[in-house]
Amino acid sequence: MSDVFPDDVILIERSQAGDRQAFDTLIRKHEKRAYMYAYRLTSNAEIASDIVSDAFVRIFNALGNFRGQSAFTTWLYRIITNCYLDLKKKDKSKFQVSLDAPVGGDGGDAPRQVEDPSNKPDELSERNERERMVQQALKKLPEYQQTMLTMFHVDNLTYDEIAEILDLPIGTVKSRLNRARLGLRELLAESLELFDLA
Amino acid sequence: MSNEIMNSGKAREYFSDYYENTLDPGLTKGFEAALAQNAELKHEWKEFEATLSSLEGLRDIEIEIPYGLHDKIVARIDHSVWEKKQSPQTGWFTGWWKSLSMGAVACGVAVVSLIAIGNRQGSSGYSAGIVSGSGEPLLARMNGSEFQFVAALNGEAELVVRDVIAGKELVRIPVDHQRVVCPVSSNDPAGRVISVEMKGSSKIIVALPASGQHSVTSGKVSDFAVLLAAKLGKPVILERVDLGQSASWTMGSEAGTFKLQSTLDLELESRSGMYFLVTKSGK
Repeated sequence: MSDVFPDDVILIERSQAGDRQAFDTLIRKHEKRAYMYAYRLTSNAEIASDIVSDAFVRIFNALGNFRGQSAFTTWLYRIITNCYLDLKKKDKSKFQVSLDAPVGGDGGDAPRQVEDPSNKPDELSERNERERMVQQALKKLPEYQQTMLTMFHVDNLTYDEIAEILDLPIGTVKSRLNRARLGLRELLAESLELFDLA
Repeated sequence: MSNEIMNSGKAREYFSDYYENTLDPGLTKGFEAALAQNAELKHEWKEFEATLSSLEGLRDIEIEIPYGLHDKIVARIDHSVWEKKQSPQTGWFTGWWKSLSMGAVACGVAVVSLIAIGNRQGSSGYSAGIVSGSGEPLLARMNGSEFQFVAALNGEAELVVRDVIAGKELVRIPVDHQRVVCPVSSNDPAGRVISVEMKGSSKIIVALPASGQHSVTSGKVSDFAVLLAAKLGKPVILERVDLGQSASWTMGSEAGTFKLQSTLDLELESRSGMYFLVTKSGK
């Protein structure tokens, strides 16, 4: 059963008036999505939850500045992205531990694969391998390219939303995203036997 | 230009637009002609398509949300609020909180304990808030519908919970260099007044709602407090209140309204979504 939450605008207004329950509801409403985005950037459960926690603290402390000109999710993505970039700056080595985390391993950090009955086992393992390689290649890109690709292709955000999150003109987002995609293709070029290019 | 065959570099610039079908018809023709004439470019384009398709496949990977994520977020916020309150202070107190916070990040451990009071069958629709004695390492707060105490100490101590009315100890929880979150629930028909204390912190006294005997109109101040909590549907924090004092009262029809005998100088306050019963003269 999915939770039904009040509108963000109402929750934010109530939070701005000092209603902690409203802010708590706002957290509950968005924490999963926030975590998934952070996890996709870091591939590390602990670091992802640290990033999300820090992001919500920043939001809580800046609630008074939120004027509702953009959607709350846009603000949330911006802050998570900033928290991630800040953390990367502080400690790059910490992230490298997680880069090669095996998909489907027992470490608790690796994402689970959704079982797809339409795929045969060999197709599934090929797909898993492909996804693992894409994830690893993503990590090798500059952080801003990684965040853009994740936002657009995985989190399904629009160019407008990404432009707002990164505070960039749409044209810049489009050209940078094209560069990021070309960069990712180049990184994956060596392992293209796994890709069906027919 | 639009109908000319474009060079490879230019064509690569249009990979994304072509993929998204946003290239204008003239450029599309030129792009497709370039692909048709340049096998290497065509191969690159196929790789590009396959790359994006695999990237989008990452959407299907299920990501498990860690247990306790919400608690971790709320705890960080509480800590941030607490730190802000402490910011003018310096000395050992601020020092150990900082080191504790760093320790928590390093080990990533939060010990969750449950204090079960009464038969714990029901839950109340409490509202959120933070109660903090200034400078205290012990907080009372609402986490969703749950009333909790949060204690943290960079040393060894115990969180002691007592039933104030019955005068007996209910539970002792060690707080040894770690953060302890204690959800509290009570479904005792008579309500409860509990105290929670920890070395180095002020005692917090809370009236937990009574579920019966709402018609009682006299007794001790502690009886009044649990009835008031029941009327409000939330715990009431008691500040400088003489619980043993005799009292008589009339509850109003609206939650939180009441009339006490004139000799009692109590006031109900709402702060950060929580209720406090405060002795006015002690303010």
